[in-house]
Amino acid sequence: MSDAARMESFIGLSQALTGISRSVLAPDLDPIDLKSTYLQTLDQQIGPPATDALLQLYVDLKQQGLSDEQIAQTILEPPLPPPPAGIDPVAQAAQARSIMKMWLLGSWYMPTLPGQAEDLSGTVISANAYTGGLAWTIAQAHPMGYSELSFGYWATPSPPLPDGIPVQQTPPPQVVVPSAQTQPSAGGDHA
Amino acid sequence: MPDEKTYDVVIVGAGIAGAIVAERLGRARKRVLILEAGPGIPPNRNDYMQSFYMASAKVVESPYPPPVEDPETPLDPALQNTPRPTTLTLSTQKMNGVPLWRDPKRSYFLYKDGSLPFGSTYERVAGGTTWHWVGTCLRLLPTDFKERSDYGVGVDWPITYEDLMPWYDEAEKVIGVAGDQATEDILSQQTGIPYGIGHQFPMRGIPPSYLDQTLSQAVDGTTFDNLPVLVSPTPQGRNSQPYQNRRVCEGNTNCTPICPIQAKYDSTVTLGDALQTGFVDLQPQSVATRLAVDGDGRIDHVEYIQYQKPNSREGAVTKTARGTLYVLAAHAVETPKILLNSATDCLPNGVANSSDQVGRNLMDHTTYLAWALMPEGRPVYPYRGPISTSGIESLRTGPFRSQRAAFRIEIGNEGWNWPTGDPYTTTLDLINGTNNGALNPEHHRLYGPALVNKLNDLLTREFRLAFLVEQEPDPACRVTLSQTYTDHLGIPRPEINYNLTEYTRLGFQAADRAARQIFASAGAQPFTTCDKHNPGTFELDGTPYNYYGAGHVLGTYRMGASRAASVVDRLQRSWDHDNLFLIGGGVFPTVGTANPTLTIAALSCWAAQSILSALPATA
Repeated sequence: MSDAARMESFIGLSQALTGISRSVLAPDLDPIDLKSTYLQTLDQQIGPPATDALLQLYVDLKQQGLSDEQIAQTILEPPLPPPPAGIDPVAQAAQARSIMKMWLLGSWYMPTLPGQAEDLSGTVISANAYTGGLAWTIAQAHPMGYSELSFGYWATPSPPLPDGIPVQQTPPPQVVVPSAQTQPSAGGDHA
Repeated sequence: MPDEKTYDVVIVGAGIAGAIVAERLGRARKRVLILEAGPGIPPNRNDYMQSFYMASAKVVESPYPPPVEDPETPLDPALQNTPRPTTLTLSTQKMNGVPLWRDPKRSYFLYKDGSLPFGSTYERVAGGTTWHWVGTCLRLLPTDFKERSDYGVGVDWPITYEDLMPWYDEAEKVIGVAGDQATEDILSQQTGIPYGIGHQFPMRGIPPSYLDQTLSQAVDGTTFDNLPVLVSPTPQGRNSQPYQNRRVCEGNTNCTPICPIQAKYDSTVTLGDALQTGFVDLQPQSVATRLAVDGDGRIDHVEYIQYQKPNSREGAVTKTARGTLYVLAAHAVETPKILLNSATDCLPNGVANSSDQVGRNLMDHTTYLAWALMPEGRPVYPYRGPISTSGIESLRTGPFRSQRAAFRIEIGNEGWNWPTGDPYTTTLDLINGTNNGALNPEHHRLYGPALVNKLNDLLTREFRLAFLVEQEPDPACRVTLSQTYTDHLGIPRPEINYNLTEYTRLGFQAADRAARQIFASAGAQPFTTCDKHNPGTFELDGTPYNYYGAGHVLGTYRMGASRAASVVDRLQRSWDHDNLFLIGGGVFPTVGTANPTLTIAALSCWAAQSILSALPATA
């Protein structure tokens, strides 16, 4: 697989696993380029052959015409029939989960096999990976220690999620106190 | 002996207390030396921020040197020049069957048999622990100063609220406290604090979070133990407008462990002002070891070890510093450590310790943590804004104080980050099919849109309350010196005996009751659990409770009206040595329920004036 094809497969696989659109994972303008950071991390952590096998699995399933949902299900909940020699679908499922955790939390968590204790502490991949963790976005918040918002934003409900993060949102509840509360300049008349 | 400059005042410790005194003395053209055990003021906060970003466990100490090692490869405190206690050692983890807090190779503190772990930590760097305070700027209540007289509990302070009131006003200016008139009115009505005629906070208040507003609507008007329950905005040491050349708060939700933009005050601000007077020298990497006393009972000099490289003894030399007056502002654990380490044949109890009170009455605001989930369809959008913008202050005092400890309630804007480590724990649970955070009881393994939906639904409904329970003073809760263990410079490490009296424990019982009631009022589902494997666990009436540190380390060299029963007088001057002042949280005879930094700052402003009066007039 060429480098470009590898990257294309990695983004497609990541989208299938996380449910988050490639427009968020790999935007056209992408100076921080976490996709490359994460593919490189995967190569370093599980080795290029295992990475290639996982990417090839995605390509094969995609070519079978499976939807993202079906691809993710097949990889994460592998069917029981014995796999081809040398491929361990259970290990691949664990690797796929580590990919999901990278995107959501910006850390590498060791893939673990059934019966092993899960890696719960992980290793932060980079400062950009921490601040790019999508769990914060999904929470309609920002990484703790990295906000690009301005004074007083916290007084009102969060804006809706960006396109590409598929949340069926309930509309924000009505603001529960007089609107003056939500204006920074009027803050404090909280009786 | 190298040339030794003689100073008017030698201060040990470059935290908020030392910085305030240094700045005021420097402005009055007094020559001041500050000895700081750790590194000086960093040129910017980028290194600290990088350490924070890269830390797997983003605990309060994670940005600061020396680096907090992964528990798998810890740095032995015996190999550190300036070790400090860490929250990582208070985890449920054990190594070879030994809890980390009990292992001298992990824990800076040693513990007496039968002790509970002390829940709070501190930093040994210029700026001190204000690097990671939340910024809450509440005052003690008038009745907090006379608890013995009013409730028959603890001791009275030798000063009154009225004595301290003008210094509180000063301290609010030093820190830059944001608060509105309405906030002041509410606090006055609910807690009996007189703010004084014409009082104004230096800048307008910080807007309450959406969570604060939601809870306010749910609980205001209810009562608990015949007291009104009322959410009120907190006066805070963070900027609502540019102040002291610092920026306005952008709600990074990271007041602890570190504000990325210094919108929240820390004492490097005052330290910088002190240095700019031209009369103050700050000497970092200089660990005070002992005070030497002359034949007249006056402090003759401070002995300290200056080291060249962190955690290295290479080139480290023992030196002395001399001044007319001496101020220990090293922290409520480190100051008694220095005093006790100064024992001689003539002073077998150590310096300033004829009362035998040095090191005793170690206190904290032991914290009861309660967490809940708002009902479905009622998100409160946590993980946004300053860590806390409001609290419930209306339960801080009442007749109940003759029976059980009081508390204030801090409303947290950071979801379940403190209680469960979210958003990490729930994200991992939903991916792994585990239930460590209790939000995945059916052990679903989710992916794709179902994962994103579930995460959004849960994380946006999380909130927590922290009950800062007033700890009753107990002379048996104590800092002494280890006879066995030292740091890398050979200085004995603190040995702690810590416990909670029944009075304090009863405060937890009431806190638990109040939490359930508040959650019920909000229609929220409680998730508070007690993990018996957590080292911070005690029992009351057969019920276990977890407790946490508030970072409020207090009470180890109390002020008092009598030299027999206290270490310093009402001016924070040693009863035993008239050229020695001891300042900082250690002087608190009781702790009340106000986060202590504002009171420490107020007392330090007052101490600066007393010190100035005690110095000969400048020629």
